[in-house]
Amino acid sequence: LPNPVPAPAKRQDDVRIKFEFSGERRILMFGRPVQFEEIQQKVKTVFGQQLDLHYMNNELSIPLRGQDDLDKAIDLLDRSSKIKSIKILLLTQEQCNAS
Amino acid sequence: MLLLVLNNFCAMDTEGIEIRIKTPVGDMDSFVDCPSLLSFNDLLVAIRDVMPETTITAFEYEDEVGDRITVRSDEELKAMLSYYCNNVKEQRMNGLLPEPLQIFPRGMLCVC
Repeated sequence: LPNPVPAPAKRQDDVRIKFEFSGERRILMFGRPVQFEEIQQKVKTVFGQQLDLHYMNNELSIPLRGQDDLDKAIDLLDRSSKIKSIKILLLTQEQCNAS
Repeated sequence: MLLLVLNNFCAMDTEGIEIRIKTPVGDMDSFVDCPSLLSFNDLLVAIRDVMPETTITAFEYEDEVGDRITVRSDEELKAMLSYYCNNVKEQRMNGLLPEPLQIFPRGMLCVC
């Protein structure tokens, strides 16, 4: 009989998100499954304002607009043994319009 | 879920961890018996004992890629301890002696 393939142990771990806001980096852990709204809410609580989320990958920065984008980011994290946290740059609306 | 969380911290509780507070005037090692019970405030108080002349409101640590991460709450402290705990496990597996957890106080007069 074929044995059921166990999910990789890493999937059980909390997702570590490294936020960067005005030069300061903070790391928070989120239990799986991570909800996009949950992150938005947490950002508002921790940083005191609603901020736009931008996924950072090397020099690339992609706006995180919803659950789909977040799932893709988590998928990339799970596939890599090197990357241990998701990097999210936080920008105010004004900063977004300027860039 | 609760069991998972407890398991995560069990390893730390049986052993305790060493925290190295890096200050401009030197390092100060402090042993924590029960890391799961450590609060952000406990650590701030410990830092203030070492640096009474500065107003410490936060501290930093270095993550796996060398980025300085600022800690300002219990939640972030937990993330730091879980990161450090995994590091210790990895170092042990490789037959290395675990390094103390280095933290860098951040304050008004501190030029670090």
